[in-house]
Amino acid sequence: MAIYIGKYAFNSKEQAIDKIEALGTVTYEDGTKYPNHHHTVVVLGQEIISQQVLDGEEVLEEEVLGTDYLVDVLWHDLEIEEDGSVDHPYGWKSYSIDIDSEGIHKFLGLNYQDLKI
Amino acid sequence: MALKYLYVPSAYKAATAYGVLPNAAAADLTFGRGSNGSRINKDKLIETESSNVPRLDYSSGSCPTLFTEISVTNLLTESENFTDSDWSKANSTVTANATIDPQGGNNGFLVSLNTSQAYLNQAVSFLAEATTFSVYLKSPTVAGTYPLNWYAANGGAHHRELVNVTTEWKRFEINFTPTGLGSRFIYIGDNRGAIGETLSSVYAWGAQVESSAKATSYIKTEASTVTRSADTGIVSGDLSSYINSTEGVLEFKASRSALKTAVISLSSSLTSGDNSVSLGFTSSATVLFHKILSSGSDVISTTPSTISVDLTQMNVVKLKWKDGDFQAKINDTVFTIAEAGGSLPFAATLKYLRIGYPNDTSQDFAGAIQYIKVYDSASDF
Repeated sequence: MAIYIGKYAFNSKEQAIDKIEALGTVTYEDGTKYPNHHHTVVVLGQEIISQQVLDGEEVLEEEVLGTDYLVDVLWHDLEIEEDGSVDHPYGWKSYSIDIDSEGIHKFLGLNYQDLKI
Repeated sequence: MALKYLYVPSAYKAATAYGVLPNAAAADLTFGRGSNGSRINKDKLIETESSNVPRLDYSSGSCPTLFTEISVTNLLTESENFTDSDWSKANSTVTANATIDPQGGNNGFLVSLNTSQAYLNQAVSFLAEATTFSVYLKSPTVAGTYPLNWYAANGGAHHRELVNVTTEWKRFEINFTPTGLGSRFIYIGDNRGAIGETLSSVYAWGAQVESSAKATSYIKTEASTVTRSADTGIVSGDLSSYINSTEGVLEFKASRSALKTAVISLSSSLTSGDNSVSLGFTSSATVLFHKILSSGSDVISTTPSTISVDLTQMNVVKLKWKDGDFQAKINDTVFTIAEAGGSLPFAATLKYLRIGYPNDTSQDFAGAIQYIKVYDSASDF
């Protein structure tokens, strides 16, 4: 099973949710939605421009949030192109970001730098 | 008349959990999990298994279970490094390498609350949904009580509670659903509430905060939050030579670990449930789910059975199918199931056993499975 890690910065929460649900979602009778695919999607939310500054419990400076809405995905078994390459699912490539570190989130035991799509 | 398929957690390798009966490759279950995952090994130590390696878990005794979970993120950073600056220390001290930890290393921390205004905390962005904070604790001296806490500035402030710590490692969890957020913290010790704790020092290791109604397997974090992927794609080979499509019994013994629809199924196809037998649980805490489809039509009523057992504990669940004779059973309680419009035998031969439902990962089974059996006669019910 081939796996890849992608990091994405969407323009808004709504846009991110639309892209995620387009991967496959089922809605149970109680209205709860569950993914119906093998990928692991982690919604990180708004990009943190600067971290909250604390003194114990006291917040000295609130965190500053950017406008980008961040999502990490561990992709499973993406379609392989004729030339052997693998690309982001349709509609995701435009929002892909490439960073030099592991970032603010990881998948257990996996390195983004080794598996980035 | 006879047991035709048996899965009991035993041998495994990456991407395969070996079946017991029949003695054929088709009995083996393929297995997938994108990330690493942890389990309790037979020495009762926490151990990490690599991607795609089935987890045989010994939490509940000397017999292992096949352990499957949904995807979860540990929202804390530095989950086993309480000396790191991500953890704030007020009138408290943290000593590294103070004792043997639950993994068998020497990385247990000693946390000491030095005055009556002491705490150890971390800011964490849990959401306004079911949340669990867990941490392993052990007393360095005698059994006693110790105060844990969670806090959301806009949601009722502090929620301190005492846990009963002994001289053995135990994982403690606090379950909550915050109604207001703002600045949020969890505390591995907070004695400012003066709620009667008897211990001022504990050994601590492995903290976790997750969006889940109960604690799931431990996820180590360092500088960033970390996600464990779901266990998925667990399916046998072609068992059509062994499964009777006219009548039979599907039985398993398992507990659930997440409130979601979760089934074990037999089907004629890897990608369709149009001819299938499914048995499991719904997203309710007390509902047994059973469904039989032939040519895409319901053979039995889709109304599931309401039950009164704790599905988080081990239960034996059975479903029998035979034209005109459909029943489900949980432990010793039998449910007669009304028939619907469809009929048996199945339009296509049943071939595959799946810990989930064909082509629908939302129904993947999350829990601990002690065995799965398939019989070739309804009389085996």
